[in-house]
Amino acid sequence: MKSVELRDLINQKRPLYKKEYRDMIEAISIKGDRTRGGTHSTFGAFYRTYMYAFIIGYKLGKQNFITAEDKSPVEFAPIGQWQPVRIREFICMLILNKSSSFGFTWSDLEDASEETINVFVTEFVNQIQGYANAGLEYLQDKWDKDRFEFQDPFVFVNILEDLNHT
Amino acid sequence: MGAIIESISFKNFYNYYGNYKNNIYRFKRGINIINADNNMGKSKFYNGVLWIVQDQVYDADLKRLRSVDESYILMASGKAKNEEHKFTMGVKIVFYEQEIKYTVLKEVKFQKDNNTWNLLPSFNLLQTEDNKDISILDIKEKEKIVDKLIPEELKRYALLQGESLEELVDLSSKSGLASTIETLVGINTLINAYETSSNFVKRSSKDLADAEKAANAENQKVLELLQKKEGLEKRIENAQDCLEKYQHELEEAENTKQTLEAHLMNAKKREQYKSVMDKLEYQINEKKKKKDNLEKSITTEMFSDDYPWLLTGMGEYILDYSSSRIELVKQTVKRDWISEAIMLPKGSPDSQSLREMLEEGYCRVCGRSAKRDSEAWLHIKKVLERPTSKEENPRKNDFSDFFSNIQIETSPFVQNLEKVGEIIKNYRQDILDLDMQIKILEEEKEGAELEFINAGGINNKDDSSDSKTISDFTYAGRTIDQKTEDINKVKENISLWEREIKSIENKLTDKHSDENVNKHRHVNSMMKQLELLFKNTKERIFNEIIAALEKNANEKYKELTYGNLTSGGKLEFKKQTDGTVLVSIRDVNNNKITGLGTGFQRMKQLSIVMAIISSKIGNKQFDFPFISDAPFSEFGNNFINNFFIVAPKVFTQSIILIKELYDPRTENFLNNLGDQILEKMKKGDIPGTFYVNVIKEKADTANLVTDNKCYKL
Amino acid sequence: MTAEDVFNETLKSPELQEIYNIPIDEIKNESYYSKSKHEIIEVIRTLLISKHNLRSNDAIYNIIKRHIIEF
Repeated sequence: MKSVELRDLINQKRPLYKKEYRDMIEAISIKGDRTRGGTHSTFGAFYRTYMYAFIIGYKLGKQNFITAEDKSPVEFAPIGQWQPVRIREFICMLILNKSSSFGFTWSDLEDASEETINVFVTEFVNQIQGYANAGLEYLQDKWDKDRFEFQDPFVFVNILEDLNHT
Repeated sequence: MGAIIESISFKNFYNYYGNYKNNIYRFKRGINIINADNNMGKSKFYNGVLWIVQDQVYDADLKRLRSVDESYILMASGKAKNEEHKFTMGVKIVFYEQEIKYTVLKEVKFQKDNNTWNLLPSFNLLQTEDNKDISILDIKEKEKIVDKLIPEELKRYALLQGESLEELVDLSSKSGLASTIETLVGINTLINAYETSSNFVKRSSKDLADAEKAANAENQKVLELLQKKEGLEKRIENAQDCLEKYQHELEEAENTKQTLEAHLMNAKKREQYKSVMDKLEYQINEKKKKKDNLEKSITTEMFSDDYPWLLTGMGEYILDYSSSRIELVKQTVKRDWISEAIMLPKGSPDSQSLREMLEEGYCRVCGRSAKRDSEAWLHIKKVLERPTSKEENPRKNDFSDFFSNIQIETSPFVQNLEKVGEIIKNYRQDILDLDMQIKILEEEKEGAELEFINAGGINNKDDSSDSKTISDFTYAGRTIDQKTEDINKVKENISLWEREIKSIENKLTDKHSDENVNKHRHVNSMMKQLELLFKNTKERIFNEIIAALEKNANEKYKELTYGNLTSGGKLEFKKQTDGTVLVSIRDVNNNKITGLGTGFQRMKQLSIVMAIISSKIGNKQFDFPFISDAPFSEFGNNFINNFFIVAPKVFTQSIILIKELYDPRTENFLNNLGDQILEKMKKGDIPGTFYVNVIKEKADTANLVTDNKCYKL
Repeated sequence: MTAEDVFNETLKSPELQEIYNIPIDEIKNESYYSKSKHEIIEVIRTLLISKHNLRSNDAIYNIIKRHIIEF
């Protein structure tokens, strides 16, 4: 398998999020946007929220995986469509940094069979989901308990900075 | 001697429900106070007097007087209208004049027919002299008698409705001035004499001209001179008409200017502050827009291509990746190299030979030294240790590009992410700075708004009214200049023509000494002297009156404003070129004071009224009842107190309708000031009577019934 | 102001002294009710009395004219 094929496999994947975060995600993605007469800051595209949640989860070092019990998890946009590319690649880089923790070394991949590569890709995405959903869980908690913080235009920066300090 | 009101009573008139004996107020000389809260009958009482005296009532909604014909239904008691099908509404005033008692009764009979009221007004007047009652039947006679109560020319001073105070005293128009002076001195006789003498001048001039023509019928030169003289006289007459017109226009412009002057100071200030406010508003909006844009761009910055705030503090992960990748490359290269090394060319040394080469430290293949751990020696070692089986090193996949692309893509972040922290910090600071700037500007704007409001800004939010005031004022100023110039020109011309006439007359005198002509000339000369004497006397008296008025008004003003914390300045009466008078308020440095509160403005008006009344030559006391409804709104306690001290010196009898002494919470419905004044009355320090109106039946405003309590008779 | 008041006020005019050279003492002794020896004062008096008596302007003019001519 060549690089391009691996790239494609990953790019086609649509990471999932847990249904219970849907309303919060909608709220902080576009709907509540101040420019549309809402009361708080927002991200714009949903996948940005996802990327943001991923970073939170990653900084927390926590993962919240989608399991069989999670009914109707919701799909995000395919990874290949995420923008900006650089940040998307950065996220991939972060997962690859920890690939050995979920059972794959890079050199292993060099020798892996197609089946194994597919497993790797599935797990790759699973890892993304894990961090992202952990991040969403964190955001949901903040949304429920400290809603007022979302009126600060710097709320998303504040959250990241708080995590940097802990 | 003037009139004194003995009593005023009402029957089913507005709040005054019931018979006259239930709604009677008995009065004396001095100050008669009727203290009542809003809607308790003050203005209704006043309207009763207006009905008797001038068949009008004051409509508070329209803020003007209305004929009673249009108002009978409104005037009738709501309770009477609701409860009765037939009743009489009326007002009765009993007054004395020259020891004769007059009972004036104006009534309207109401009768309900289906749902409409039929009205039958009546006017009865009874004269009682030496205990004999005489019914006055002639309507003109009745009106004449009512006029004795308050003469027509004094009504504007005797009947004072608080809100109309400003319109009352008008010295700045000829008619207002004439009316005032006439009121003061009855100068009509003098004016009449002057006008007659002016008329005589014209007549004698004509007679002289006719005599001269007759005497010189044969003399062409003389006739020409006479014609020329006639022509000049005609020109002077026309010029004088012109002069009058210009003077009137000048007077109007002066009036406008004076009226606007007070507004103007404030209008200019308002314009100035409005301009400042607009400018600040613009600046604030710009800053807010800028801040808004910055805030909106935060999420964009979070996902920036070059300095994404999202990845703040995560630069180290790139280094980790880089290390891992280097490791991978090393491994890959190693494997690649080894997989390529398996295939050695023919004739290459075998393993044993390679071992010997290592021991010897010498390469037999290229014949060079290969000392231990040197590059050559390590190479030989690698060859010796190479995998011997190709199958041990399979590489199914080639993901080098995959990994390297990620590195390439993220490599700029290595340096950039270090700077993100600082970028965020500066961005926050920029927004804080904008907040501070906005705050400062808003405080400035608030300050300007306050000044705007202090200059009357609340009621003048309309841009155009201030601009119009300024432009009207400017136009009035230009008109004044223009008309003054025109007047001067006309006067110059008149002067020139008069000199020419004089010269002609001298020539004519020289020309002949016809006795008849001389006589007429002498008569003409005397008439002119007479005219001049009356004119100068009129001027002199006018000036004396104005000076006395100014002195008197200032005395009253001082007395009325005594004890006030703010100095109200003093009144200045300035004679204008057209003979009218402008009254302004000056401070101690003789600077004009404008913008004084309504209280002071009303005090100024009241002082002038009192001065006019007490300036009446030969009669220091106002001999007619002074009746005033609510003159004290905008006055403080100090003013009110002072008024009760000053008023008895000016008015033989006054009836004052006032709410400022009222307190519904006390037993006697009087506040402290009311108690003080009542006390003074009881002691005899203030002569008069004291009534308080109370609401007999609490009801909606249409059915209010007022009763009165007499505290001092 | 009555006609007499007007008479008294008019006699206060400085022109009577300045132009007509009538001494102030004599002016003070003048009365509305008695004939004056000074032409101008007599004319003033005549006009005022005639106005008070409601004579017509024509009549007043002729009276004054006669007085002046006689003077």
